[in-house]
Amino acid sequence: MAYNDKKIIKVLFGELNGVPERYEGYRSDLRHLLGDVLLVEHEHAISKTSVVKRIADQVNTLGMSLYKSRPDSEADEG
Amino acid sequence: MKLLRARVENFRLLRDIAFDFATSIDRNLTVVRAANESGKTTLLTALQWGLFGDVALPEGGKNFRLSPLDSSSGEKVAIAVSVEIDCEIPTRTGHREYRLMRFVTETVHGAQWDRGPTHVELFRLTTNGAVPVDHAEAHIRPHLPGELREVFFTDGDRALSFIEGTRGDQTRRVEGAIRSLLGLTVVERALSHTRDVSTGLNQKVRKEIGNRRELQTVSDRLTMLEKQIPPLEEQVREAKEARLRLQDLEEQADRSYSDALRKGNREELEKQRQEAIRGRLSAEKDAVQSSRDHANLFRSELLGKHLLTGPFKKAEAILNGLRTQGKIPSQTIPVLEEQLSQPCCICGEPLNSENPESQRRRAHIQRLIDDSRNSDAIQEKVTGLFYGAQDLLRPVKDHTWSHEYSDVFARRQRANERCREFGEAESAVEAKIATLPDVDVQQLRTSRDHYRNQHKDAQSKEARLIAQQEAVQREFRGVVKERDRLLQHDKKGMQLSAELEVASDLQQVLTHALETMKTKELQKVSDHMNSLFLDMIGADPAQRSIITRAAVTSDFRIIVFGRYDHPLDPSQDLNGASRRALTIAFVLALTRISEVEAPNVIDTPLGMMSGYVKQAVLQLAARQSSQLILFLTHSEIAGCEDILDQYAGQIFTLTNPAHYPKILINNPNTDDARVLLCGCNHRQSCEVCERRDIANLPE
Repeated sequence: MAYNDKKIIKVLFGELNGVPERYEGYRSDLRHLLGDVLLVEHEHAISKTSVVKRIADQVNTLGMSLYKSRPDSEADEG
Repeated sequence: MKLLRARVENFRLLRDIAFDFATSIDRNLTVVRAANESGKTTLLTALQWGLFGDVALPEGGKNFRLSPLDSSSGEKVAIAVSVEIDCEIPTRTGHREYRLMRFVTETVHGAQWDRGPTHVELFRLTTNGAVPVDHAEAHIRPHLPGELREVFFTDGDRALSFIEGTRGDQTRRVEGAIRSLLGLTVVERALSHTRDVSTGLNQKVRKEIGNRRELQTVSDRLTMLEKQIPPLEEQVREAKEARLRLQDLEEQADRSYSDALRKGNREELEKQRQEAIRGRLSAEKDAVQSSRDHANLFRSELLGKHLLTGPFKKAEAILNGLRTQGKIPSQTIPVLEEQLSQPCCICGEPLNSENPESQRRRAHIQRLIDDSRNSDAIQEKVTGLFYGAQDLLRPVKDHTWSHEYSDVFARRQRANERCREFGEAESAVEAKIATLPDVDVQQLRTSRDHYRNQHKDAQSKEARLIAQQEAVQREFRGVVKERDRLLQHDKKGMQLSAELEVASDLQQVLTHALETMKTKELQKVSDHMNSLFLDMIGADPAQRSIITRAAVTSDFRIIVFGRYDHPLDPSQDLNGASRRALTIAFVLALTRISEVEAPNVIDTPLGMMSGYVKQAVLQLAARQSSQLILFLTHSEIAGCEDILDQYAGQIFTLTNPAHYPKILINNPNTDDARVLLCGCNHRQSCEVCERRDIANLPE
């Protein structure tokens, strides 16, 4: 945890209330994603990593969960 | 982060000293007591060099020798200089202790010296010993970034850089400290990387669903807009900086002009001019506010209610009709179920007896519950609409909005009228001044007008760019909506759309968090600084004190107000003690609001202060810091002994043997230039640090 993570996390999580609950538990999943993004940023600051790709992978995972939560996707899969 | 202990070797006067810092919550204060020229500033520099490297040395260390100045009498010698600092760092799994070692070898030959490369090593301190950590700098930097050096390590004079210097410099320093401490930079980086993710997804849309012309067009437009946004943001930032620079120049030129008028016995004219300017500025402020209120009236719900009275009445009639038909349950299921468990109905009639009336009432309530349960989705929506729209459907008085409109319009007219009147008054005074024969006044006036015009141009340019930026952002949002609609046609599109939605939610949270930090959190810093500052200087605005409040503006300037809310220039209108109190209040407020656990290390903070202000600053600093390290002279300590008794967890004294025999009583018997460390506190003295007639000694 960096010197000011406590504050950043508090403010970021406070803003989650403005995001719609796209499926039950979506905000909680997005909260984890935010925590991971922050971690990726800190690791990137210490030693350069492919930060965009790492965030993109996490976005992809949550995107798939969101897609699967929708009734249309079930019809498609069926 | 907390500092635990330090060892300094061969760093100028500090040949070999080691000490512990106070770390407990209720006694968080470490005091280094030392007279002038006894190593306070050297110790401050050594600690900063240990933590931040050469950048913390004067001129980046270029002409700054680290080793003791008398370390070579003629022959060539190699001197190892080192600073070792143990600190405690919070991690996700709890606090960890680290040892940071910075060392360098200087080859000294008389007055000549040559410095080798600086080395830095980091060790994690565990119960099994010290474990080396790779990339020491990279590990330590997130916990103590370079831009915060001025916040956490301040000497009395440098601390003033937050309120002195040009407006642009002040803004840059205050903004830098706020950005870093509140974590704006890391959120901005995350936002930028998340935008890159969206750009990548948009390119994927073009690649994978590129045969659909409409989608391709929308996607192309998005790519173009995405490219426009970052340079526009940069241009807005540059325009703001240019505007601040010119505002600064205009104010400087106006001050010189004002001084010239006063010197030339034109006080009366200058008084009239200042009155007109003050009046114009106040009227302009009112005009801007009333113009905003005017615009907001057109966005208000009240106007919507007035304009939609007809359709609302129709909707209300339909909803009420549905309710009468029983299609909108009047009670919710839990309330009705609760009713069934009660002995009496809400109307007071019994529900628990066996008589037919009770049975009938129970059956009626049960029917309502069943009806509610059986209501289909449409009925549910209609019910939601009925109850949700109650506020909108509540009748409004016919003229409410027009009354408000008339009030705001009249206020706006009055403000504009006052602007015109004061503007004319100012022009009239300026016209009189223009006829004066004073050459210097005319030259300074021309120069002021020159910067004023440039400032106005810069304001217009900034406003133009902001409007352009907002237009691009609006269009961007619209095109994103369109793309998302088009993506809903097939499986691949829907998958991409879901990913884009997540990226967009992420961006929304990050953008709003940035906005919150720049507004609400900044306001908290400002309020807390104001409260600390007023407490420190003992000002009570209710008692007509000269200073009524201090604030951090939204463009990151620290400003102070006097009576009648007249702005004061902190660098000119405040005395030395108040200037220091203001900067210390800013540093403490920023540290507190950002919830950063970091040491505040301050060299001679109480110089120029006495009595109440000195004690209040010390007390508040000790209460507000998570760890406070103060370097104090004997005279700074005088009068504050009781406060040190209460808050100091560690106190030690540095003594310069060169002060014998003038200041020191005992001969320390040292041959080389060095300072000596002893464990004497603010009430003690020993053979090493005992001074002559301490009360009357010069520092």
